[in-house]
Amino acid sequence: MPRFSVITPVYNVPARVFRDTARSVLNQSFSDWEWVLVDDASPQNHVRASLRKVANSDPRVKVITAEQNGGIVSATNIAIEHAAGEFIALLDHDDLLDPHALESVHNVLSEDESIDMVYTDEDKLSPLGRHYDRVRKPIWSPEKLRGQMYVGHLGVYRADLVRAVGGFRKECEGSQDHDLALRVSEQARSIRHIPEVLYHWRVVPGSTAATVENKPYTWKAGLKAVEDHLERIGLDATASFGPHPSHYTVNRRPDLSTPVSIIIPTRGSSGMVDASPRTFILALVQSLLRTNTHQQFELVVVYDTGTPDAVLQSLQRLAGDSLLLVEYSKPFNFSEKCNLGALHATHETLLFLNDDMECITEEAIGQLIAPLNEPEVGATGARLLFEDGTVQHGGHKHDMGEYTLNYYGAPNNFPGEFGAMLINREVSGVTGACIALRKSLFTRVGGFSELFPNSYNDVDLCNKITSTGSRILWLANTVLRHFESKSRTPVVDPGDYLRIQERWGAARDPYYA
Amino acid sequence: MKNHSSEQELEQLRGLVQQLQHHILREQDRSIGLEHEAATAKAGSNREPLIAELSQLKASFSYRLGRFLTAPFRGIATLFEFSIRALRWALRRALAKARKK
Repeated sequence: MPRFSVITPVYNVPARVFRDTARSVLNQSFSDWEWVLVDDASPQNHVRASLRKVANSDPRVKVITAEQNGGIVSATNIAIEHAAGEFIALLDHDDLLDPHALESVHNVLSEDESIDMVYTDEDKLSPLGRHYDRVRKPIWSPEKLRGQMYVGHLGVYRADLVRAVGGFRKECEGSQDHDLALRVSEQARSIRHIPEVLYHWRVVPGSTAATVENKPYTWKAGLKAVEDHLERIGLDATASFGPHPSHYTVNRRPDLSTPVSIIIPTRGSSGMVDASPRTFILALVQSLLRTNTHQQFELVVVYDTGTPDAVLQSLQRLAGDSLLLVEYSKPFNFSEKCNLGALHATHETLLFLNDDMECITEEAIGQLIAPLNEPEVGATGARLLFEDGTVQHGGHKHDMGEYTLNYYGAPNNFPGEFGAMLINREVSGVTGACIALRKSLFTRVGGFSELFPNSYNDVDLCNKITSTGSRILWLANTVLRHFESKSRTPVVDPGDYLRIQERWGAARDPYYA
Repeated sequence: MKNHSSEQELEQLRGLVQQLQHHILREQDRSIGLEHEAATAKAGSNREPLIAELSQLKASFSYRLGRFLTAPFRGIATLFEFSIRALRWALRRALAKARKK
């Protein structure tokens, strides 16, 4: 049994283009493979001649001719039937494999017997041979895969599993690879990403690589794939077309029944927002009550000694019995204030909010806590906007010892790299200004580290969460406003910076976006 | 009177439990932190031989000779890249002008 069956459905591919594709397979540095080519009854005569020539040049090449044209799904399924390899690698008839593609995948597969699916980075290749649009993919990110087919090429799947899930589905023709990735991932024991460009997607006029708009039916097929996936895994969520082609908006039904403790550290400060004066915490609580129908929540307000009595009284009037006031009398330490709030919280689900925020979307609480019902999700965060509507928070990037906010200051409708801002996705961290998580996990990782009184406490908390194997989700459609720097000047404490470096070093961000 | 005193005791006890929980939280954070610091330090120490190896390579005769011999080609490649960019810029400009007309 060969290690890999490279499978390629072929239809009217230009002879010159196919010659390069064939060369990229035949010249692989790894030799234990077979190449299954299925001619989908191409009317152009040169196709048959090209395939025959390749088959004659290497005994590992199998050519099958379909009796009638059945489309890409049908042709690929025929190839799967004839594939004898342990793993199936999908290659389009006009694309190129990197010379070391199969060797690199083999090396990764050899590390762990339980790997059922591998995907690699890819780039595009212009007709003039220029490589561009390198797609740096994140480590396995199921949430992101619901929003877009980020896995793409090169995709390598365990052959038995592909057959077990029934191969490609006709009803998802056009997005059949997205559908397959979703179905295989539901059953896979382990999925790995290789951060190397091992596949070159050739841009030829009319191909999806040139422009997605050329094939609008693929978007519709992708939506069906995502909807069916949600149904199969029993996720209580809806899928709809995203703001850009080939992107899908997945919204979970807001969780309105799980009791939640909302922890807000404050000192009762005031400022100007939208040219009007406001006391931040009062405006936040008003917006929480206005935009949420969630009934089962308590507000744990950790206030500094010296917070005006009038503010505390107003809070009492607004929140009534659901308010729990906790006094904090020590010098400012954001982490300690949050931890104190968590220790007083009576519910298992915690939502930390800075006081200088305002809820925009309806049911933000329910949306933030809904994913926490899934065991692998450790924490969630939201899209935060500045007063002027630009992005304040699109998830954290923890890369090589630098901790930055993705797309900080970008316009709210900015799509981000490869649509990163259009969809829910896994991130290395989210801001402590708005983070929801379970109390059991919060306690297990030691809460907010009090060694970081000012900066990076959220980075540290999120690193601790991801090191337990949990995923952190950034929710694209849960929006709050954050009037950062209006209540406190943002200053990075050099001591905190050194401490975070000592603790976490300088690794690459696995969710690089 | 007796009830009042019990309530006070209960409050005190609750405070003590919270202090203890806070202490546990800090200790938990400290232990996780130390674990990761140790791992980071270990990873950092692995870099030293690599850096030394790189310095050795850069100091070697063959590396310097290679750099010296390929210098003209690298220069030509840079010039070529710039001229391509300039051509593309000129083409875009000409197209924009043509569209305006």
